[in-house]
Amino acid sequence: MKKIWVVFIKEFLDIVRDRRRIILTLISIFIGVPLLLVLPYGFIFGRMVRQTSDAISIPVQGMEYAPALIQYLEEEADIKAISAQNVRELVLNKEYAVGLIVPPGYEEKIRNGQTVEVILIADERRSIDLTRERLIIMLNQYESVLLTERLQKNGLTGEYLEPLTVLDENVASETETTGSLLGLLIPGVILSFGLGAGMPVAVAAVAGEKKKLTLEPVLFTTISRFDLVVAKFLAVVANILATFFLTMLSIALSLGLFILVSSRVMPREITNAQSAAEDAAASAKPAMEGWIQGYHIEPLAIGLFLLAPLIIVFLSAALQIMISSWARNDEEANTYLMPFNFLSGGVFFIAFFLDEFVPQLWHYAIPIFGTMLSMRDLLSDKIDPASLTVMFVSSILYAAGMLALAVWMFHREEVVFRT
Amino acid sequence: MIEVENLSKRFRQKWFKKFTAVDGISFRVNDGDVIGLLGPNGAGKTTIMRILSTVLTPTDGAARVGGYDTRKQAKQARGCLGILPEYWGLYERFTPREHLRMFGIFYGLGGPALERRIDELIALFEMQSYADRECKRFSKGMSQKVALARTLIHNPQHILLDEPTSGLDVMSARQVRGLIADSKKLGKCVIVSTHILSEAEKLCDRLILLDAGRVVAEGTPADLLTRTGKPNLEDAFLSLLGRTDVEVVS
Repeated sequence: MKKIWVVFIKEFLDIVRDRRRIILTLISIFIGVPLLLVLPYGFIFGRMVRQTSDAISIPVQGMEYAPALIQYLEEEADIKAISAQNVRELVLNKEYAVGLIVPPGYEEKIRNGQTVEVILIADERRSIDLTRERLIIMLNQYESVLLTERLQKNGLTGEYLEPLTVLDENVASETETTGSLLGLLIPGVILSFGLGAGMPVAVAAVAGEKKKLTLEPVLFTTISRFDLVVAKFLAVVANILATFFLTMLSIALSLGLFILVSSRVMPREITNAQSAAEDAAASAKPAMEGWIQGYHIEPLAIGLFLLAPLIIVFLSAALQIMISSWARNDEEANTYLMPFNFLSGGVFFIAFFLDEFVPQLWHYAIPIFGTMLSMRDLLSDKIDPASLTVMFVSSILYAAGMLALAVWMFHREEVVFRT
Repeated sequence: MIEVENLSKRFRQKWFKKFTAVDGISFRVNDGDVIGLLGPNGAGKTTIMRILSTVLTPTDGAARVGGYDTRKQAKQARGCLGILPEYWGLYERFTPREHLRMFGIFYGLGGPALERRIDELIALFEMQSYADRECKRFSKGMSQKVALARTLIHNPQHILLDEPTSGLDVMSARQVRGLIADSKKLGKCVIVSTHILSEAEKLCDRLILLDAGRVVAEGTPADLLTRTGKPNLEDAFLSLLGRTDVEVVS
């Protein structure tokens, strides 16, 4: 046991003392992750806030035909209308996000109770643009005002136009609904991390040592090959877990920072906001709160959820050690391990195809896939002993088998001396 | 004592071909003896060293180190053997002291006894000034000293040295030669694999000349000179290998 510990510590110190690697890892985790998370979302979020709450200008062709509409937009939605001749060209040239064309005779048709076609010009190449939605909602609101006036003139109420109301009922519980949504992202992120991380350590600990000729002197000593492989395997596992926890910490800090900054910025922006897009956001808020407040999973499910990927980390570490043992040197090991990057990337997307998939018990025995199914179940607080047993037992067997294979490889002289 | 009996090692190559690195070699090294394994590149010296160190298994024959069969009692054999490989294989981010501590633990040592042994070896090889510095930028001589100290950490009875003075400056090489001579005095069993014939002549009681995995000649340096009738060991070496056509390039 002491020998395993010494090799484990040696591998650990080898990582920690590699200043370049440590600095790059810390930069990636504590600068790269926040930049990737906060910057793009902060940019998108800020833009959306500006688009929904700031005063905007829109070009209007035929502005003189609809003074009442223009007055409504300017007073109710902080939208400044600018008279223009060719709105299509202005929008196409990206001078404005949206524009409006009011046909001649607008006012007369409205007065006579006829339908008028107002054309909203937008450029849908602008992927993140709420200005169009803001204008549509304002126009719809204005339409409602006109409609109410017309109904009142004829002695009718709003119910006259609404003979049927649809009530939405969800057969899934709030926990199941939220769990299904979380299941799209979280298991994929965790598992792809578990499969992808740890590779540099696995490569350096075996193939790298072969290349640097540091492995042979260790094999001359009385340490057993089993102890040596187990220690290196544990070092890879520890590295995956350490990187994972640091990344999660970084994500948590980034999100915390994002929320803090947003909460400071949001109230000031929102007090001025009069846009209808806000109303839409406000109507969506109770639903979101309902999901979060109604979501509840048992501590046992949380425990099992955390345990499930740990076994995949063992499996992945054993597989990486085995491949690294087979390789002649670190370059070759990196080449052999390249498919792992694709696999870890691919795992992330599996969840998106699982919506209509009804798993059978044997599906839980498929390595990684079974774990993903179980993690999805657990996120919905579904603790099914049969499927969990199949997943845990099969995953442990795969991991143990892979470790045994790695130990066997280490005993083969044609593998150890393939330099 | 190290005994090698009818030792053979064949390696599998591509397309079911086999390569014989060692072919039916036998020799014996008594305690207090220093023998030199000589031979051109590919003669099988390193393969013999690796079989004795138990990291390679012989295809035929047997090797025993201190009475322990390298195949059946590998761990015990390794326990009484100290090996200096040709390439030192030092961890560049570890200090000499850490190397010695780690390898000491691998050999089952520990506690104050191990620390005392580490200090003893640091003093013996005069490594005090760099014992706690990472090995990253060490010179060849410094690295060789660390590797030698690592070889001797468990005070082995049997010592295998592969090219122990290769690339060393005069001072360091002299120190290594002194160490081999001291080991002989202490009754240790030493095998030295070397290309440096003058060194082999000075240090070794007996020389084993290998070529293509076989023993070409065996005896004391004086025996080999008498047998070939050559004035020096280099000419005797070439004569025994049947390569008298090798000329000096000037």
